[in-house]
Amino acid sequence: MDLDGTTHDDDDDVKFELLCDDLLEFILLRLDSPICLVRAASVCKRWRHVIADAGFLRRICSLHRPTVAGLYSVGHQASPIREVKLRPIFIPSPSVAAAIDHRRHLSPVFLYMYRRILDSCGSLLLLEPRLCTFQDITVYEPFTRLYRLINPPAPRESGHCSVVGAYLLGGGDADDEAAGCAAASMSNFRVVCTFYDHHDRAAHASVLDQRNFIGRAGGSLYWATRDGKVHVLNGITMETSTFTFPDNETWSSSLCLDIWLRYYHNRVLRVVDCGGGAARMVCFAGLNLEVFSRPRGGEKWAPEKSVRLPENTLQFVPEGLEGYYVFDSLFETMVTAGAGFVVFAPSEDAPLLFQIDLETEVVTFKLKDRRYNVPQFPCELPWPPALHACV
Amino acid sequence: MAAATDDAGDSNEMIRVVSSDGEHFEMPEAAANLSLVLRHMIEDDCADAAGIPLAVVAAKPLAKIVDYCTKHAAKSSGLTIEEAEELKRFDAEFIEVDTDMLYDLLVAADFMGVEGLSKLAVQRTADLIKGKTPEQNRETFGIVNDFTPEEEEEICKENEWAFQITKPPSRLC
Repeated sequence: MDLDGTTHDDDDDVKFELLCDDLLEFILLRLDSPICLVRAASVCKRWRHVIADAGFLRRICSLHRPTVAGLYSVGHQASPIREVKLRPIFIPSPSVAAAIDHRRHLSPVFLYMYRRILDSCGSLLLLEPRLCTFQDITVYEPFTRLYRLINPPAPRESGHCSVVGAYLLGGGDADDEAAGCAAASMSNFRVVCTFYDHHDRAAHASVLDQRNFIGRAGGSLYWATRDGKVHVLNGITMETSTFTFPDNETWSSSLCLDIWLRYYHNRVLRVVDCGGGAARMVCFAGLNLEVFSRPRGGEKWAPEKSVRLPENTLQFVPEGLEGYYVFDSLFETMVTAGAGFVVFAPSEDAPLLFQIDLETEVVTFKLKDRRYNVPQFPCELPWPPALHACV
Repeated sequence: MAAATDDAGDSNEMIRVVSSDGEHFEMPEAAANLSLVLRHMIEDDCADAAGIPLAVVAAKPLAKIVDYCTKHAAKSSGLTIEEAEELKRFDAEFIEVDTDMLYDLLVAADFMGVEGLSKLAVQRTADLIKGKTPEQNRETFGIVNDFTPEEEEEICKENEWAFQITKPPSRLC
């Protein structure tokens, strides 16, 4: 490095071209959204070369969580009891709405073709064209408008099995645990179907039912049953395991009822992915949000923190809506969850939704249109983004 | 140059440094210790009255770095919340510099091994990149576009969504 100490202001426009590779890489690793990263990779050949490197992309994905583009909904109640057909919607995240043309690239129009969103993971949605048949279920990426039809095969030669759930996971590679946890994208996904065997009358037969589903983390799927058990399907080894919910008291006072009466978008218990394969379990206990985690990556779950909700959310309620601001420990529900966050409603009918970041405990406010009181599936921007051209 | 504040560490000795263009600066030893390179030289008894020569750091960035180290050394341990806030404000103001100075700070902090400043300058540069189109980034950092028009088209096509800035809705909803 030969930096002339007497350099003056006039000709240092080109200075940044002199920056060494290490420093340039450090700087570019701080870009935390795919929008910035894709744009930075189009500045010049050198920047593109640094960013498109496979090692760089792996590191940046481990440093920053994926960006949630927004929430999709087909617009009708997924409740098994009543079904009201409404307009499909997409609610963009504020940062994404400000940066990209979401009306064009993330329009929910395609949802008119489908009855239900079964699941979402990474930048993908899993869609069901006809209710409860699981025929031609479709993996769809709104960004690229690419799709793939999936017809789940029967698990055994007997025709007495029915599909009770279908889920999306990132691509599984038994040799590379990190890859198994990677965000799902069109070039990296698996669909996991669970079946009910009508000949198998064992008590646990329909445990892995979509109605018992409580979330995903670190490439694994989680279900909970009335007996206080949580069931885990390891998405890498495809083995199942079961453990007892860590807080007996909370379970018997509120959660056991929840499992029976509620469904995925109307639950008081969730498992949330917190990056790097870490999972948190989140539940409502009265007016508190209780958070459980596995310290030091061990097997045992322990209480981590407790967030008192009314005190932490009141300041976000806009003027004129205070009347709706009632926390009801019977009807507060987690509407949806994504990497590191949950979205919850304080009571059944209020047009209020709050999003809480489990790491920072920062609460943000969303307004829910009362007519669209529906499940919402988060869709992420591709992370890492595809960077194959001109490298 | 900022004066050393009251509790700038155990040793009150002042360390002299000389910029590449021959200007002399002084800072408390605790401040100089924030630089890995200076600390090693002090440990090896290379700090004398003539000052440690820094052959690749010009006077302008060096003055800023001495400022930064002096401030941070005075407030290094046992911070109250207010002091931490004040230090944060200092950092935010400190790094409000033009890209020319930012480049000098990036390179000098990296060379001198001042970790906190290095992080600050790296983050500031990344923040400048964020929210800009490729063309705006080229302008800001004086970078020449070396893609052919065909390559540019191909790159844009691959991630079209990232290049279209939000247009206001055609009608109010």
